[in-house]
Amino acid sequence: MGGVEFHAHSAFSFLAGASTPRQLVVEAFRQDIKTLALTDTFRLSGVPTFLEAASEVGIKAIVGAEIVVEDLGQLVLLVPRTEAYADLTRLLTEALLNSPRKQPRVRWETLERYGRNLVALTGDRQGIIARPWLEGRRAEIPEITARLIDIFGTNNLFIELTVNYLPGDRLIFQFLDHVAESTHLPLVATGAVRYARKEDFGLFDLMTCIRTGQRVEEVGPERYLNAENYLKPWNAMVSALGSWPEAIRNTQALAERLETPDILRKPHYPKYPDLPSGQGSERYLAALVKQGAQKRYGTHVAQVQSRIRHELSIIRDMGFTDYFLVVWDVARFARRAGIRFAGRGSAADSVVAYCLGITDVDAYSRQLLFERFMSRERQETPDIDIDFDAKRRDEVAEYVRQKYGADHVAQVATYQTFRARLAVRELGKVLGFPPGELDALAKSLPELSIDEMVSRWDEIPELRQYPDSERLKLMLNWARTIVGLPRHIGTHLGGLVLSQESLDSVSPREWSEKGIQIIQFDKRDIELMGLLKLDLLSLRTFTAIDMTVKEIEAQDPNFDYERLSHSDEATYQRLDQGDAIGVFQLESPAQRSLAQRLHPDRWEDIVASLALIRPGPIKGNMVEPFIARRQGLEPVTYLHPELEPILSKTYGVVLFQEQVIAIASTLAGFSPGEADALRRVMTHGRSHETMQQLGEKFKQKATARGITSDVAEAVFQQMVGYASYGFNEAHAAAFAETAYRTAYLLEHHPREYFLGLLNAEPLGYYPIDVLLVEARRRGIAIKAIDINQSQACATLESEGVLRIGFSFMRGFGKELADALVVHRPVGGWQHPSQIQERLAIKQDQLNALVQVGAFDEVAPDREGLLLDLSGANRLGFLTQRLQRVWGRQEKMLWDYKICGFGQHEQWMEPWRDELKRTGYATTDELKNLSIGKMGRTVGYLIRPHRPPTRSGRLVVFFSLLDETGILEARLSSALYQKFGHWLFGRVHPILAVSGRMQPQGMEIRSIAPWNTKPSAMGSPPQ
Amino acid sequence: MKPLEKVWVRSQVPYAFVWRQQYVSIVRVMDYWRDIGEWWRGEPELWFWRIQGQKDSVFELACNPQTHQWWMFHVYD
Repeated sequence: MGGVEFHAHSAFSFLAGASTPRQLVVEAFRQDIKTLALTDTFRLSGVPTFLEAASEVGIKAIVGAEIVVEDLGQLVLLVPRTEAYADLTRLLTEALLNSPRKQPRVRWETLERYGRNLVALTGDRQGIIARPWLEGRRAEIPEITARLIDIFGTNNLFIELTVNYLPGDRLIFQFLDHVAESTHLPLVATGAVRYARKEDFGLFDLMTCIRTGQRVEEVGPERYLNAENYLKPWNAMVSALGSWPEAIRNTQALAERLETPDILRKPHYPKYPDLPSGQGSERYLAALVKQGAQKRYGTHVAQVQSRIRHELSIIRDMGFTDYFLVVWDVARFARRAGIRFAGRGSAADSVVAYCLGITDVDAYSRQLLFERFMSRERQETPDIDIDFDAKRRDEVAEYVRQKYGADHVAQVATYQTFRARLAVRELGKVLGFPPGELDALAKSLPELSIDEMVSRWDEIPELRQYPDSERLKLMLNWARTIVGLPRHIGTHLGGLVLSQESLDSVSPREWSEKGIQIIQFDKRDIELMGLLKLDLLSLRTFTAIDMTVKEIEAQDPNFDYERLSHSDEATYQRLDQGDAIGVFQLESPAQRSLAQRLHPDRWEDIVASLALIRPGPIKGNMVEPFIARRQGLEPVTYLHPELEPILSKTYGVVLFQEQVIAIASTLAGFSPGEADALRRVMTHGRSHETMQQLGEKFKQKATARGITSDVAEAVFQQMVGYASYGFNEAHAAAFAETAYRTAYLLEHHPREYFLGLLNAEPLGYYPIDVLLVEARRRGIAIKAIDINQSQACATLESEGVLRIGFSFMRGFGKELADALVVHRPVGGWQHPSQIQERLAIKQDQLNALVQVGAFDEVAPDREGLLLDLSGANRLGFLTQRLQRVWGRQEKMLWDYKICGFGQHEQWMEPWRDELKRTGYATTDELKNLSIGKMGRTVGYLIRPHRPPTRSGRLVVFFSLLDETGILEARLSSALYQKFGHWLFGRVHPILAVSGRMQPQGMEIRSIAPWNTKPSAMGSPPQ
Repeated sequence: MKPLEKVWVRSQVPYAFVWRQQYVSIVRVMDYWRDIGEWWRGEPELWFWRIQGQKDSVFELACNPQTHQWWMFHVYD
């Protein structure tokens, strides 16, 4: 028989393991290890992938975990058979929920309660026997051993010899052998594995340094002396334990005895609890859908009956009837509670979801295919994603918890993995890079893989500028190996799992940093574990809309947001002008530029826009042909007349995934489920060979239905060309609803809408500074924070003036902001010291109120007030109180420091005369220049980015803001080499640029930082 | 660490060496471990043996398994 390893940690031991479960399995396979256990510390997160990977290569996978008992030492627990799995999850849950968050411990009582069906190994030098021996607490060992034997018996408790070649091993092994002999416990051999291969040690050691917060040169007790915690070949284990052959024999015997638990893909779906008496869930769902269909389709309801029957039969056959009832119930709760929501994603391909009020997209009228959402062929759990008003999403989650019980509901986890920036920051710190340099480097990393960064080093100016590039490359090489490994567990923002039986038998639960209970699996793994997820997402745009609508309704009770017409001319005109800053999903420079070329004047244009501005269509060169056809500049043709009904709404272009499915069904007679499988294969860019096989099948089926082979081939090629870029139409249509409506609000109710946007921040593409410039540009007066006029959030004052609230100040929580309003004295606050007397406020918060001018109306000399609080004026030695009224630029600097935006004016405004004198135009003036003309301007740098391009070249897009608006700019690949370092990393945010005007903005020719001249007070905070 | 000129090895385990021109026969291996050193500076992994020589003398020998170089690491009087 092959080798065995019962004690192996993966990267899911978070910074205490350096290989993924799959890497461990691959290496075990290579080393002919036939039985492998995964024993992460207090964690089963790696188990689903581990079981899957092991089953693929025929390795017997044993599930386990390493725990710490009281403060005594570690114990490795193994699950001997399926039924005992729940004992391990319950044991871990009890320990994790009852211990401090980062220091879990298992109490003896817990071990007694849940340990009896498990197998235990005594661990390495940190183990429950070796550690007391090493720490000189030898007298405790007999009692510990006796308690362990009492729980596990002598058949299921093993004394572990770990082959790690450490000083003193021989003595420890002799001692452990003595314990085994005197207690009649068997010895067992392990490698206490922390990484798959010996060469992974360097990464593991760096991860240890990240975990312990030390530099690589520093010595620490948690650093490993050698690189011997890898998966060793079995013969190495046999030879190392030559004096203890029984350990080898026992290990192999135990491997024979343990079983892989059968826990994957066993459904634990919830049942809907409130069925009317005598009605099964299928009948009840059908009745609800019927009722909903009547409401949605009215007199046309008969037309949709067969579609509804079709959907219901798939839902029933796949076992998701109760799931739909659960989601319906959640949507109903939100509606009744007045919580704004909308279903999105492929669920909007379902007429049933539409009739149940879960989504607002009429899948029937749009001819959306249900099979894009779920099909018998796919056998996957459907995902129903619903966006809720961000402020009220927790109410919905709480409703679900109350209804199904805390033991049956928990939040899904996310594994926070190392990405390039984090890897550079953390590894750089460990490797001794100065913090300032690291910060600049991390900020300047391009959106490329680390491999590409290293190989294209000389093409990236902001990296090239670093003097010690060899050292940096070395660090990036380490970063490359850590990218993708999980670092810690987090909370999935919207994912709730629901389970029929108590979740404790499926997954351990633990506290998240936010203090809510999460399971140990992420959204992919919960599906493998047979759990169902509800995606209750939060959308701040709904918060903004809710506030906007309430403001409008206060003035116009007849206003009905839900019934806005889809054909408001003014709204489309505004979008056509690229004037969409603040509009949901349509405000980015790329969307605004598209609108100026596409000239949207109907609903379908919005749906198409949302699908077009994605990396796929841009890289696939789909955008321009689409625009040309939409504008009538290119003929709309179809390869076959049967394609016309499918592609007419996108002018013959395959834009949506649903269209690929429809083509395969219509032309080649694929069942919709088969067609979706075809779409998915195409989308994931499979091998040339697979594509050819698919093509043959498509052609065969199409020609059998009378399509000529030439046409079938051409259609297949068209599908292949676009399938990987196609977007989910249902999702686009769902988002288009909100996009259009927010455009409508912006056009017709800008004051109320800007108020909503400001109060829902952070949201959208642009920072508040941009929103304020936009608001002013539309004639909305902005008033600064005033100690006696402001509320906690922004408010509309008389005549539509927008007043900024206290919560816009950095470091001011909601509580303090509210307190300033609630405790405001009759007659108002007259001096900051009054606040100090009445409220718990820190000195710097009080100073900030003065610095942003909150007291300007009662005492305009800010300097004097500050000195009153903590300076010369307070000491009382002066015969005359010091005072000074600040200048315009000084006031603005404090605005930017404290709020991040100019309350009275944008940063560039005070320099306008000087800029004019020196020949710089405003961004607004530049927009009026004819195409091809040169111009120059100075502005505040916003969002420089290097999106993927078709050619793969690095091109930069950025925006420049001044008091007149925003200018979009593009820096070519060649000039990026020259000027890129001004845009990324530690940059000066005020830039002077010159360039040639193009329809989409400025094609940059030169960039330089622009320094505010002598009077100046330095750079604005970034 | 002083280089050892001559070490006799069987199955990767030393059994005799020359130290200060004296032949030392290894009576017992008392302990054995491996140390990765300052790997980030390119230091190699070393293998260590604490051994008992004839006349009860105790030594620690170090070896680079890649180059088969040997050193005297410690001498216990």
